[in-house]
Amino acid sequence: MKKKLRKNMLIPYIGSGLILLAFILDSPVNIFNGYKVILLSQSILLTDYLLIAGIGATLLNSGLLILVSYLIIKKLDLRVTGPLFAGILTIGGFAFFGKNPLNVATVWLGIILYTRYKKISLRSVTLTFLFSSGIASVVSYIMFGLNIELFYSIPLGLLAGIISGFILVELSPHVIKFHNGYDLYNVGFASGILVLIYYSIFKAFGLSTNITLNVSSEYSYTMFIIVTVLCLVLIISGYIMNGFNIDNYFDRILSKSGRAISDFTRKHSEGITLFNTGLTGLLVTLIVFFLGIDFSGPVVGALFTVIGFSAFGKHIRNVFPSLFGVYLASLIINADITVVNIALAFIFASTLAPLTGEYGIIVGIVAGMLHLPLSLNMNELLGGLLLYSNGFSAAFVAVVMQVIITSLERDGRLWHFTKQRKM
Amino acid sequence: MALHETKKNVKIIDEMLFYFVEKGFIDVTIDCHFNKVETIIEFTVFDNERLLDECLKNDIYVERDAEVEEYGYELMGESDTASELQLVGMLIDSIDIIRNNDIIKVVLKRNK
Repeated sequence: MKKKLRKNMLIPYIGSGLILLAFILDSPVNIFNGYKVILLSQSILLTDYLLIAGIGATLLNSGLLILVSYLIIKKLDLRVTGPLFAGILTIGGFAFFGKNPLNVATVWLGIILYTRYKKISLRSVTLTFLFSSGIASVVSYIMFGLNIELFYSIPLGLLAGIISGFILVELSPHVIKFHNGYDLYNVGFASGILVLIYYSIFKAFGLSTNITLNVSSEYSYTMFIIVTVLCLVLIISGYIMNGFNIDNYFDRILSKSGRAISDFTRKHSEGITLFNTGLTGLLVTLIVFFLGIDFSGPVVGALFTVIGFSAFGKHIRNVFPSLFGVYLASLIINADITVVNIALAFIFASTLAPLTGEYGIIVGIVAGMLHLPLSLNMNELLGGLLLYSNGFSAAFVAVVMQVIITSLERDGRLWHFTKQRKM
Repeated sequence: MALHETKKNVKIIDEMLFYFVEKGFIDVTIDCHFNKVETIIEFTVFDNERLLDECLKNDIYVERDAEVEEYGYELMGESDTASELQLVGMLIDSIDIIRNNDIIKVVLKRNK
């Protein structure tokens, strides 16, 4: 049993649990009707599935995508490592606001075609495969948002999705050098480059998107409880799997900078990794709750991403400075942290955790402060067509911070009082 | 066969060499053997202080990860920290560390 849990990292139980909850909290008729709405929506930022389709259909969507992703991993004979755990939870999280089987499968098809064309196994590109669906909004927008006949829009949407998937496999490793692994949402950055091109073409044809910030607050407490319980389950399961202790927490997790590629599950550390995902997720969830932010679809999705990436770089030592930086910036520019796009920048700033891990708290805070204005601007630039817009903007923050640090650093120290970096 | 096989091998060499030099081991010889089945990379390092065995044991953990194969290999050899040895560990199938007095031989094998 323990061995099986180590291999699947509770993923099938999380997916099944969400589906079960969907049918407990909503009627089958509501779920069916809501799911139709999800599949036919434009799905650009911010399309809160909780708002347009209700809680049942949204939980079903998330659970289904998690289970489908897990089955693909199983079919490829892979165990759920830290990166794959992050990839699956990211899909499950964004299934609250933008991803659905229709638009995700289209991008996946592009990647499968790429592997056939290059005669390689899908196993070797699984990570990009899972994260690629951040560009899925483009597919739904072309299919259902361009106001042209479905006869034309559906093939066009399919084509855009397939081309995107095909290109992303090469683009993702190519652009990781840009930020040197300090932006954990690397595929978000790669996808952003593609979306920038797509949106520029749309604009050249006089087409534009309507970015909305309408989100649901109706299910806020229910979703808070669901996320909290999920984190507690992860903490307890991790504690048990790790032999009822957390003695190796510092050595295996907290001592790491978190810079990509940090797979916390290596060296048989699945238990302590699960503990970290739950603890980091729980602390961020509680902060979000006490700041008075509603647990809307996008906010829940962002929290799922934090939980997922806590197996792939994030932990309680490196996550909070950049979040605090965003909070400080919001106070300076007088922005309301409870407004959903500010709240998302706050939670997703955790993608810059490796900067804190490598260079310290002050760098993390400054990075977070830079992240807020940049991420707000990116939505305009990308027309809301990129679900990972925070990942896109964070790459620029990571680069700028690295250049500043490299310029100031002398003898491996940033300032005279800082610790000399390990070389 | 994986994509960018030659590039990955070169980056593994790049990263390992950077690691040795950063640790202060400046007398390093590299031998490479490429064939259809595997790549064997041998580093011969002069280490009279006998420190390298322990360093390598701490910094590299070998368990090939198929899913990161095409994702992060570009990061190797790109930074001035030693953390990418984790990546080397994800891209190779075995490591042998053989000591002969002041000479240490590190043999990496990567199956195709």
